[in-house]
Amino acid sequence: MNCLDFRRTVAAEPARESAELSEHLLSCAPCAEFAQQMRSLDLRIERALRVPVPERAERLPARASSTWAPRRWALAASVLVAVAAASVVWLAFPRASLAKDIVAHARHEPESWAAQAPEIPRSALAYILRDSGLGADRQLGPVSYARSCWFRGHFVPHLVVQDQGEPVMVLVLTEETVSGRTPFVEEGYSGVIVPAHRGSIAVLAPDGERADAVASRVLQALE
Amino acid sequence: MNQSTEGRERLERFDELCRALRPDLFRFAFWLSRDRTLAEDIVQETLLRAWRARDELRDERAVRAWLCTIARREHARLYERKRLPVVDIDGLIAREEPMLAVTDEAELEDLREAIFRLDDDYREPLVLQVLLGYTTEEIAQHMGLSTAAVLTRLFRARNRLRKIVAGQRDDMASGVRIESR
Repeated sequence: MNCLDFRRTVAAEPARESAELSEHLLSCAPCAEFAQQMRSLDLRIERALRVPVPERAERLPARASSTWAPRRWALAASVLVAVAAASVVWLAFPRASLAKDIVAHARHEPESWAAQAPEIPRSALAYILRDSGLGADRQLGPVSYARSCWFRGHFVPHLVVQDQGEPVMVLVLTEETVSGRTPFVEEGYSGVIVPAHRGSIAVLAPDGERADAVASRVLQALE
Repeated sequence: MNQSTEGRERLERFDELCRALRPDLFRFAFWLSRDRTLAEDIVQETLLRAWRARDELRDERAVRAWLCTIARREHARLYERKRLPVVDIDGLIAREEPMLAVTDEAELEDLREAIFRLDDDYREPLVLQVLLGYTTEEIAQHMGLSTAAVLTRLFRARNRLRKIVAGQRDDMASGVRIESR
């Protein structure tokens, strides 16, 4: 086997093993290095191909036949039990758990908190909002970070809005409702949760006043 | 065991298989279509079609290849049905940026973009081989090609990606970050 054949084979099938390949590998240092590079490249390709799988793709086919019905009822019953259990916990620890979860989420993504970070393209912001059936106009201001984040069983838009040169975090919680404006201070973070047309909006800011101002702006900007 | 119990168990088994394979199926659909929304549509339609045709599946070991084949047809059908416009790669990359930029490692992000830019003919066999572990013969069967054609496409795909990665390394070594977008 010559070097060209070896390289063509290895580049097409890096995992392939044969006596011919081994023999060439042992006798040709540059080709051995090439094979090593290919294996390393393949590991990176595999990592690159493993894009995150959205939650929606984890659901069963929506139009699957009625044979699913007993399963759906079983699921509905288990959801009811879970909701009842969660309600007991919720009543025992009023609204603190939501604020805690919001702060925990913010701490989990410290890279989002860069001050004066550049504005992301509007298309990227629109993409994230569209995923939750939302849109926004320019009143939202410069957004430096936008991701669909897994929060309490749903993907929610996690945005960072730059306000007076400082980052303010916004979570659009379409599945969480609050009865009224709910300010909180949690682990040194000031925030507010406000009712929205769909669910609520949580804002974490350097101070409560700023949180209220941004919340009001986000409420107006989201469609 | 009565017929309804047997039927239910079969359905549950089918459901389990689909759940287990859905991530792979989504990723395959994503790299085929290069669009998350389209990928989700493809997965949904694939599972629906698989569900309807479940009696055709005789060997559970073949379920992944079977689903991928349905997904591939569904992808082609979707393009035909929607008469999707010619793909603008820069636009696609901008649109899928949040999906591509899931890691802090810039190199991996650039590699995803490079895979995005590969021709469909090169990208699909690479995804089947690297992500789904298909053999060259299985890829050939799946794509209706000869094994020699598959090997050529795999060689070219990796060669392009290798050059891009090597280019980035050279640029980083000289303190310049490649701007390929």
